[in-house]
Amino acid sequence: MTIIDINQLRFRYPKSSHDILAIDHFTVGRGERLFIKGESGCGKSTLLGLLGGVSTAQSGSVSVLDTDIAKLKGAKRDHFRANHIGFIFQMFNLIPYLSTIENVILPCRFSKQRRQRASANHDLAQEALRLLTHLGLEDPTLLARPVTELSMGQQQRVAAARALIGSPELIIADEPTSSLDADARGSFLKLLFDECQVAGTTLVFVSHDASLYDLFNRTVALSDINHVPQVGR
Amino acid sequence: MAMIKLALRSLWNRKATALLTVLAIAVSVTLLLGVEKVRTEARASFANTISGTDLIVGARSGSVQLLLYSVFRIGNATNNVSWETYQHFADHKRVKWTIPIALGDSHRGYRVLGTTEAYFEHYRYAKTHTLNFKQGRAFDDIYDAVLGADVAEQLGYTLDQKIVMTHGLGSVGITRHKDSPFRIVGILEKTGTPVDRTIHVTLQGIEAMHLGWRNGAPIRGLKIDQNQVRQLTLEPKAITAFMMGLTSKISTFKLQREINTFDQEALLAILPGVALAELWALMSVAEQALLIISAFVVLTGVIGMLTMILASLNERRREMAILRSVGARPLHIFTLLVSEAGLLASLGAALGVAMLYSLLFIAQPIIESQYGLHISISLLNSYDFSLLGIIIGAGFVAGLIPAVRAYRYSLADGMTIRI
Repeated sequence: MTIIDINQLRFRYPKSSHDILAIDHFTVGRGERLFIKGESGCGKSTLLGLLGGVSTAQSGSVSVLDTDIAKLKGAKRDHFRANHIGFIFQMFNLIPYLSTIENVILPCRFSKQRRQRASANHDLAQEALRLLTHLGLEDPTLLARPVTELSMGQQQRVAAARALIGSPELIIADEPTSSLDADARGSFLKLLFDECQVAGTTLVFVSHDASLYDLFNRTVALSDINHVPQVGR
Repeated sequence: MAMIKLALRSLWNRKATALLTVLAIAVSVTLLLGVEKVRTEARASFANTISGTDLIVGARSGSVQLLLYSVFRIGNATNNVSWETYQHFADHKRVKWTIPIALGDSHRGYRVLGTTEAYFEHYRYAKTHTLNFKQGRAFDDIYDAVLGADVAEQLGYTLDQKIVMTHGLGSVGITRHKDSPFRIVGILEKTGTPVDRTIHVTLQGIEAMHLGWRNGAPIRGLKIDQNQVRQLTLEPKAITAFMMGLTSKISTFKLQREINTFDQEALLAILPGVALAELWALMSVAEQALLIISAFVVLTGVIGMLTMILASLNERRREMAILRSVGARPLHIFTLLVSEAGLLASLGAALGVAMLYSLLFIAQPIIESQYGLHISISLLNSYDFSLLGIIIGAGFVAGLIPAVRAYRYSLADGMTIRI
C-alpha cells in the first residue's frame, strides 16, 4: 500500500521562469523509512511543501493516503494535514510559552482524529508522557522546565513526540538532526525509528547529511528523481 | 476557546509589555468614565441648584443673566425691581410665596444677599432639600447675618462674631459699611450650591447699611446709631429680583406672560429649569471638548495596543508557523490575534473600572469638601456600559489589523520557518 504517490509533477514558483521540481513518478509505501538526500536549494523544502499541501503544483498530482491534496480546498486541506501528517523541523520547533507536555499534545487541539487516537487508552497528558519516556525524556524535573531551557537534542525529541502523538500515518522530518551533534543525532534517530515502527508510521526524512543514509531502509537522492537541471540557486 | 487560552499564555509570556498595554488602556478607560461621571454629576448638581421655585422675576434683561445673578451670584443686575411691583405680585392670587432678593454688597469677596424669612422657608435645592442650620438660627434683628457653609469655613467665622459689609463687590473696598457691623446668628449646612458662598441678611439690614449714604458713598461726619436705626421702619424702595412659588403649576405660563407684559415696569420672569438648561447648553462646548479629549486618550490606548501587537508579530512568525505545522488553520491564527487584542482591551477595561472606583472612593470626600460637588458612587449605568462596549469592540477591531497580517503570513509562510 502506498502512502505517497507522485505523478507527472511540475512545479515552479509564481515569478520564476523555470520549473524547480519535475518528478514523473515516485511512490512511498506504508511503514517505509525513506531518506531523501539533497543539497540545500535543490527543492527539498518545495517537495515537502507540496506533500504538506502548503503549495500546489502547476501540473501533475501529489496524493497522500490516496487523496490528491491539491484538490482539497483550504480548510479541508488543513484538516487533512492536521489529521494525517506530523512535522519535525530543523530547530526552534517548540512554542516557548507552553510546557513540554502542552507542546506535545498541541496537535490534538487541532485534530479530533489524533485526539481520539491519542486518548484511546489513557488521557492526553499520559500519552504525551509515554511518548516522551520512549524518547528518553522521563525525568520529571526536566519536564517541569520551560522548553526553552532544554538542550537542542531534548527539544528535538519533544518535537518528535509531538509529531508522533495521535499516530499520524506520515511523519515528515525536515533536517531535524542538523543542529544536533553526532551522538545526539544517532540516539535521536534510533528512538524516532522505534516509535515509527511501533505505530506503523511512514517516515520521510529529508537531509543534506549523507552520513545518515545507511540507517534508513530506502535512500533517494532528490537529483535522481527530479528532472530539472540544477542551476544552483 | 482553545485559542483564547493560547492567547492568554502567549500574552503571559510577554507579560511586561502586555501589562503596560493593559495599563495604558485602563488609564484611558478610567479617564473616559471619570470624565463622564463628573460630567453627569456636575450636570445633576447644577440642575439641583434651585428647585421648587416656579418663576424668578427681575428687571428685563436676558434670562441667563437673570439666572446668573439671582441664583449663582455672578454678575450684576442692570436694573432693580420696585418695591411696589414686588408687593403687587407677592399679593397676586396665583402666588403662594415669594422670596425677595437684594444684592449689591459683599463681605471679603462673598456676596451679601438681603432677603426675608421666606428664604429659609421656601428655598429648595436638589429637588426637595431645605436649607438647614448647622449652628444658630435664622436672622431676626436688622443687624443679624446668616452665613453659608463655605463662608464660615473659609473665613473661620463663628456665631456672634461681628462682620462689616463692603459696598460693591471688591474684597477690600474703601467704602465699607463701618457704622453697621452685623452679628452672625446662624451658619447653614453645606448644600453644594451658591448658597454656601452667600451671606444672608434682612432686607431691612441692607437698607440700614445704606442709611446716610448718598451716591454710593457715606456722608462725611454722619454717625449712625444702630439702636436708633432699629426704631425706624425701613421699607426698601427696590429689590434686585424675587423668586416665587405658585398655587398651581398650571398657571406658570399664564403668570409668566402677565409679568413679562406688565406695563408699569419692564420685567422678566423666567422658569429656572429652562434657564438652567440654557445656561448648561452654553457650557456644553467645554463638556463636549472634555469628552472628545478623553475619547482621544482611549484612541491612544488602543493605538498603543495595536503597536505592541504589530511589533510582536514579526518575532512571532515562527510561533505561528509552528502552530500551522501542528494543524492550526489560518483562521486559528486569525482568532489567536483577535482574541489577544480583545483580551488586552477587556482586561484594560476591567482594570480601568476598578481604578475608577478606587479613585472615586478616595476623591469623593475631597471633591465634596473642596468643590461642594457630591459625586454619588453608583453602579455603572447603561451609557457607561456602552462606552466600555465600544472600547472593547475597538480593541477587537484593532486586533483585526495584525490578525489579517498574520493570516497572510501564515498563508505565505506555510510551515517553513524562515529565520
